[in-house]
Amino acid sequence: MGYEFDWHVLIEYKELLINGLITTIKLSALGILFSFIIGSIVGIGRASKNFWISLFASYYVESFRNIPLIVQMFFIYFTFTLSQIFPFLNSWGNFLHINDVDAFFSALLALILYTGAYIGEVVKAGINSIPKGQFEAAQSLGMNRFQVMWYIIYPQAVRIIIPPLTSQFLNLIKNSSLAMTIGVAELTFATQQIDAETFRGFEAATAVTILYIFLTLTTSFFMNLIEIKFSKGVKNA
Amino acid sequence: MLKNIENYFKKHKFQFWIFNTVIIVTLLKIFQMIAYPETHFSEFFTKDNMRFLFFGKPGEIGGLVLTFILAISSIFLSFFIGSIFGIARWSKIKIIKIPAIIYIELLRATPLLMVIFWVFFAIPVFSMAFFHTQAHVSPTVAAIIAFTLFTSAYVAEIVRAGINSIPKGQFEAAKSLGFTSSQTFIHIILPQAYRKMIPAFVSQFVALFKDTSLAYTIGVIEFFRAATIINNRLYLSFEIFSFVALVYFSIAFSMSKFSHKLEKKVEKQLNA
Repeated sequence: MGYEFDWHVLIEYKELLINGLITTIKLSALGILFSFIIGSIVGIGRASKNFWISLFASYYVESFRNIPLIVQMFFIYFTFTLSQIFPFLNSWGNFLHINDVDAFFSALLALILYTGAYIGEVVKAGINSIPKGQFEAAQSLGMNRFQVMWYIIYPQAVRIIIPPLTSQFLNLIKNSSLAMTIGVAELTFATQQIDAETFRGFEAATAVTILYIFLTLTTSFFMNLIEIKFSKGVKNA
Repeated sequence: MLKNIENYFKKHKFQFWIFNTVIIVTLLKIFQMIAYPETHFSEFFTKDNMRFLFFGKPGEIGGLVLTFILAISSIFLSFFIGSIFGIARWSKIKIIKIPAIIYIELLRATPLLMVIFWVFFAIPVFSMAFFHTQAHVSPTVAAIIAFTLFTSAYVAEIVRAGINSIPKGQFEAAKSLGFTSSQTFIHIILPQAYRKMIPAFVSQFVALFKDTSLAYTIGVIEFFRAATIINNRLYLSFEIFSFVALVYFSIAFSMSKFSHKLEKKVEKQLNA
C-alpha cells in the first residue's frame, strides 16, 4: 500500500494557515521597513571617511553577520522581556493584533538587527559606487555634508542597489520562518502544528512552500516596479 | 591626536586587532553590567557542560563536532550536486536547462527551515510510496540531505557565474586545438572556473556553518541544541547564549576573513 495524500487537511486547518500567512506578512513588512532604516544608517557610517565612525559601523556589521539568526533570537527572547523594557510595545502589539507580544517583537528585533547588517554592506557598496565628482559638485554648490548625503548621494545609491536590496528583503522573508522556534505562530509554525495534529506534514509543507514562493515572487515583482519607476529618465540605468 | 592613532593602526595591523578586541570586550562588559548585572558563569562553565557542548554525550558524536561534520559533509556533497546543476543551468540544451532552472529557483525561494521539514516529512512518504516500507532516517541524515539540497542551489549559481566569467576565447582556442566539447570542459574551462570560485565557496561554507544551527528544529544535537538542552536544565540563558554566540562568531568571523584573503590572492594570481 502506497501513501495516500489527503489534501483536505489544508481546508480543515485553513484558519491556522491564513493566520500564519498574516503573521509572516506582518513580520516581514515591519522587518523590511526597519532593517532598511538601520541598514541605511549603518551603511552610511561604513562608507564614511571618518575612520572611527566606519570602525564602529563595521563592529556592528561583523558581529551581527557572523552570529546565526536563531542564536540571536533565543538570546533576546530568553534573556529579556521586551514588553517590560519597552512598554510601548504592548500598545503596538494590540494595534497589530498580536497574541504573544514578547515572542513576536524578539523575533522582529533579531530579524532587523541581522538583516540590517547585510543591508548596511549593500548600502555601503552603493555609496562607494557613486563617482567622487558628485560629492565635489554638491559641495561646490554650497551644500553641507548632511545635505550632500541626503539630497545627492543617497538617492542615487539607492537606485543602484535595488537588485541586491531585493535579495536581502527576500532573505528576510525566508528567515522570518525561524520565528517559529520561539513560538511565533507564523507559516512554518502552522506546518508543524498540522503535522503534530494529523501527521499530514507533507501536505502542509507543500502548501506552505507554495505560499512562501508566492510571497517572495510578489515582493520581487513590486521591487521590480520600484526599480523601473526609479530608473525613469536615467541613462545607463 | 585621533589622527595619529588612526595612522598608527593603519600601519600596525596586529596592534589594531588587539585594540578592536579590547574595545569589543569592554563594550560587551558594559552591556552586561547594564542589561544583566548578576551572572553565574561558574555554574555554566563546568567540565561536563563544556564536554557536552563541544563533543556531545559520551559515546555519541554531538555538539560542535557534529556541527562541523554537518557543515563539511553538506558542503562536500553540494559541491558535486551544485556543479552538475550549475553546468546544466549554463548549458544551452533546453531539456537539461529548464529542470535546473526550476530546481534552483524553487530552492532559492524556499526558507531553509521549510526545506528541512520537507525532507524530514517527505522521506517517510516517499519510502511508503515507492518501497512500501516504513523508513526510519535519523535526523542527522535528514539534516545533511536538506542542507545539501539547499546549498547546492546556491553553489549552482556560483558555478554558473564562474563558467560565465571565463572568456569566450578560451572555448575557441580549445576547439581550434582539436579538443572535443567535454574535453574542453574538463581540461580547460572547469579548472579555471573553480579557481575563481574558491572565495565564493568559502563564504557559502560560512553561511552553511551558521545555518547548521537550524538542525536544532528536527532534534539533531549539534552545538546549538546542546546549548538549549543545558539552558533547559540551568536556565542561565544570558550566560549560555552569549557564550554560544561568541563561539559561532569567532569561527564564522575568522573563516570570512580567510575567504577575504583568498579572494585577494586569487585576484592577484589571475592578474599576474
